[in-house]
Amino acid sequence: MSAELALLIALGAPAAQTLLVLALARPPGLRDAVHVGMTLLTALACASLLSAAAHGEAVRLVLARPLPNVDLAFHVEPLGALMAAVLSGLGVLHALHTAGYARATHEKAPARQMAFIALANAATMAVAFSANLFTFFVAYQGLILAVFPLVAHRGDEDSRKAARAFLATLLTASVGLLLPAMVWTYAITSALEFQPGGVLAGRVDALTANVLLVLYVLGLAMAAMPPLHRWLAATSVADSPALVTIQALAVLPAGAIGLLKIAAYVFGPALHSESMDDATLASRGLILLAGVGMGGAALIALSRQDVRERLAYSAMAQILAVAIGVLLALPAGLFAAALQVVAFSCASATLLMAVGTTVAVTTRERVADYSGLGRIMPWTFAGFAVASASMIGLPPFAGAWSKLWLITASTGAGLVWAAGLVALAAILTFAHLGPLAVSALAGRAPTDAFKRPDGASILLAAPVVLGALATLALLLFADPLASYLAPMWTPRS
Amino acid sequence: MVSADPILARLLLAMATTLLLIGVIAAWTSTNLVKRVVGLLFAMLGALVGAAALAAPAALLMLGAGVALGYFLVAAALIVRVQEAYGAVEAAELDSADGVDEPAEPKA
Amino acid sequence: MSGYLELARLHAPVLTLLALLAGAALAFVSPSRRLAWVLGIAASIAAAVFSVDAALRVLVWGDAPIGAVEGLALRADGVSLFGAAALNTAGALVAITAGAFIAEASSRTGPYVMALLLCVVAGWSGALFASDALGVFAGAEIAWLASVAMVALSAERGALNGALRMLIAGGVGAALFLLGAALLWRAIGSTDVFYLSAALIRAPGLAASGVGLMLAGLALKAGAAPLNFWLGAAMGRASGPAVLALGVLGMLGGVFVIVRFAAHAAPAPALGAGVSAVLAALGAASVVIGSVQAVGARNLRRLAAYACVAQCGVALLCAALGSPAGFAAALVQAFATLAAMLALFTGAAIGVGGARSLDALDGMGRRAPLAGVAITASAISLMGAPLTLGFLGRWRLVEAGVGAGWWWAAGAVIVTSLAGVFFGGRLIERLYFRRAVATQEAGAGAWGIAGAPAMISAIAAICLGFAPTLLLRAADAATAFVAGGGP
Repeated sequence: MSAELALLIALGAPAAQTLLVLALARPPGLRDAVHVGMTLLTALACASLLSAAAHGEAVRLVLARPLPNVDLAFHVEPLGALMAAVLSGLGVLHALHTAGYARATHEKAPARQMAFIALANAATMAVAFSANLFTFFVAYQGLILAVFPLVAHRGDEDSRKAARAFLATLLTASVGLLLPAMVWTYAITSALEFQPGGVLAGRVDALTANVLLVLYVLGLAMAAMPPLHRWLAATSVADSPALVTIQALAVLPAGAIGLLKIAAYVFGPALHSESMDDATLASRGLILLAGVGMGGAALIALSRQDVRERLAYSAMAQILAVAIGVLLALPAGLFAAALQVVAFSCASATLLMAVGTTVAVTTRERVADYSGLGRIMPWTFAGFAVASASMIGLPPFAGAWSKLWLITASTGAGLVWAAGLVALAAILTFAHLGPLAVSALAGRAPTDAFKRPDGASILLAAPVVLGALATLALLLFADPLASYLAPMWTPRS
Repeated sequence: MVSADPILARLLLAMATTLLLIGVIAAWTSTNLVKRVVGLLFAMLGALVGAAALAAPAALLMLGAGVALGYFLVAAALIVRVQEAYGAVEAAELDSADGVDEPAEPKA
Repeated sequence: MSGYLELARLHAPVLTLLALLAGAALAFVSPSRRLAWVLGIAASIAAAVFSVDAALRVLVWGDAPIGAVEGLALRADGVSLFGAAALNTAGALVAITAGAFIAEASSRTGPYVMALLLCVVAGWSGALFASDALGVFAGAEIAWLASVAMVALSAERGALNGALRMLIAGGVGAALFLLGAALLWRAIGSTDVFYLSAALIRAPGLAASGVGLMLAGLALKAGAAPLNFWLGAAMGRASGPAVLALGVLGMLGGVFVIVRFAAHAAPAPALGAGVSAVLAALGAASVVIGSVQAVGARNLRRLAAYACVAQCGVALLCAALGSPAGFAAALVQAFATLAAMLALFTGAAIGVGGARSLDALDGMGRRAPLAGVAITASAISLMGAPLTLGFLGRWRLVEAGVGAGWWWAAGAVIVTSLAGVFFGGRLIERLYFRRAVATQEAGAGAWGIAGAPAMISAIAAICLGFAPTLLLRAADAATAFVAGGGP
């Protein structure tokens, strides 16, 4: 498969999947086969692109020129290829799980749900492969609009309210903050291309760099930077498949990818350099905000008794770690952030699919009701435990590596307090996830656990186990990933 | 006209502008629809007199007069129909009759 | 034969007006509303063909001049060709959509409504093609009085109140324009629009006052804030065709005429700064006030009209820049607004018929999917989402504005987009995420093809945003044709 074709498939297959799933809604077997098959095709294309990026192949796809001097273009570079490969790979597990969930819960409109999941995947792929800020902005807006129906899918007042909060926060931030930042960047540089070394490097004064950084970071409300984080908890009322898309596979990762791309390819050294023409002041302020937000979110998670709400706050704490890594603006920080996105996506997808399986099989959503469930759903809760350990950052799980790199990068930048905040958040994450996993595995088995007497189907259990295995497998990839991502912070000469 | 007697022309222009302003204010602020229309006619008359004082071409004056006549005729017809439909020509009464089933909205 | 065809194409402005006025006369005397509708569609399509052909020949292919017509005081320039092509195409689409309502109109008033609709298009087209201020005045007044009559012919009595307010506002505008034209005559010895930029201005203050008054008079008719006090009353209770004529053709016709007038006046050193200040003030006020009003609106038609005010404000800001890039941006933005408004009004006309409340949209996405798509496309364009015409117009303003150091213009764009997110999001939410609480009124009386314009304008609002090269080239050529005096 040529790299151009693979890129076209990676972007086009999920979009085509949207239409196909709707067109082939019945029989359910065909619908599910199309959903899983097309997701698999996307994942294979992304895997091929991962290899193309490793070999330094320059692949660029221009769809249109909607503005003078600005293309709607996609390209393959290491960061985008890695994120697309991880998210699309997890997407296959999610597709299997969604099919199982729809059958177990007798979902009323599964085709619509799958179609919007596919559309969200298409937008996420477009975010990952975006070649410039304009394309990124288009894909980002598209992702917001694609996920909005997923949040409102259930159609009750709670989900509609959550969908409104989601739409209002993300669209307002992107139009009110991200768009002005993009326009400002264009006004300064007459270009919007993502390029290693940053388009702004050497072209901005300190004041402009600081203001632009604040606009970009807060404008990317998908990254849940306080005070624009409320949408995340609000959307925890959504159905399980939507939650996996929002927290693990599309929305939060897209926010994180945006932060990484903007730090590496827009700011570059303008974020933090030896000279004074950088955004040090804003980045320090934002690191403090993210660090305090991390601790706060992990603490709030501890107080939440609804598992989905607890996981939403936990996810917020994890994604803010990415923001800290990005804002440190050192190669180590950027790598820590990228690794954190990968580890978080694997762990969060596993956790949320395990929660979905539990809801589908037992209808239990409260923390207190999880006690002993691991004894009757051992595979699901084994996966839950592995993913929890990775989220907490327990060695030797993947999350531990990213947190270690983050602490190292923080101290390397002279920000010992930032390292302290990361460690504190890890301890609080342990407090809200550790006991939950332990009580699920070690508690006394409930006698009336199953709503479904036959337990979890293979479609519900297998993706959780495979997700946990992916989390474990990341152990082996820390060093190869560091060299793979090196072009991100090393401009080509 | 201006070249013949500039002082008279300027005086006429000032009077015309005043007339126009009075007409505009009356048309804008009056609560009675008939008064609004009369205000409008004053404004148009003021504009025509002003144009004449500025020695505007005859075509402009004739066109202006024609337009003023058109406005007067349409306004007269509308006031008759408003009186028939509402039984009133007070703007407040019309607005309250229209606003009964409409929630409040921001005004310009 | 081809010689006659060439001659006809050379005098496209006259033929455009003739087609519309002849159609209006025939519709007026037509014995049935259906015949009047067919005649109206035929006339408006003929006018659209003439004007689009002229615009394409001059602005895109650049292979033919458009001749002046002696005695009729008509003379086309780039902006008038661009504006007339857009306006007449919209006029044809509006005439087709009017079928959704005219089936329900009485057989007595149906033909009149169609005739008046054609007069509105003819009036604004005449104002666009006029070579001097007298023609602009006559055209604008014909269009305005026809709009007032359309509103007054609505079945609901509340429309009379709106029509009277329109009449008062239009009359004040006419008085201001008349005095302004006289002042301009006094200052430069001519009312020729084409003479403005090169005129020897004897009294700069007088000339600037004249141009300012004329712009204010036109802005009143275009619905620019804060002079849009008539808009809510007129749009809130008027009949469907009147709303279409006023909201789509009237407001945008006014904006095109303002842009053309400003494009001729701005190069004159004594006038440029004044024109710029007036348009900037009107544009900024329209953006802010229109956005606030649209966010607060509970009536669907008013919401659309206020959204149009905000969008037109952006076009006025573009024109206020006074540069060729600014005028080209104004044309693109006006075109984007025209497409979005057409999709919104025609989609609503087909989807909810004569219903006015926003509640009527609840669940319409399922009930009338094509109309829902049209309204969604319009809402997305009004939000300024990328890859839509709405985004393109605003981007051009920012580009031109930043180039001129007008950073606050970018702020105005953000305000418009943020407001668009709120009211556009509300429209989409109602279409797809609410269930109808009562039996909704649909465009049950719509005649066959009446729904086509909604889809055509929705496709234009999205597709031209995706591939805008032709539109941008035409807008640039239109501005150059004014600035350079020839194609």
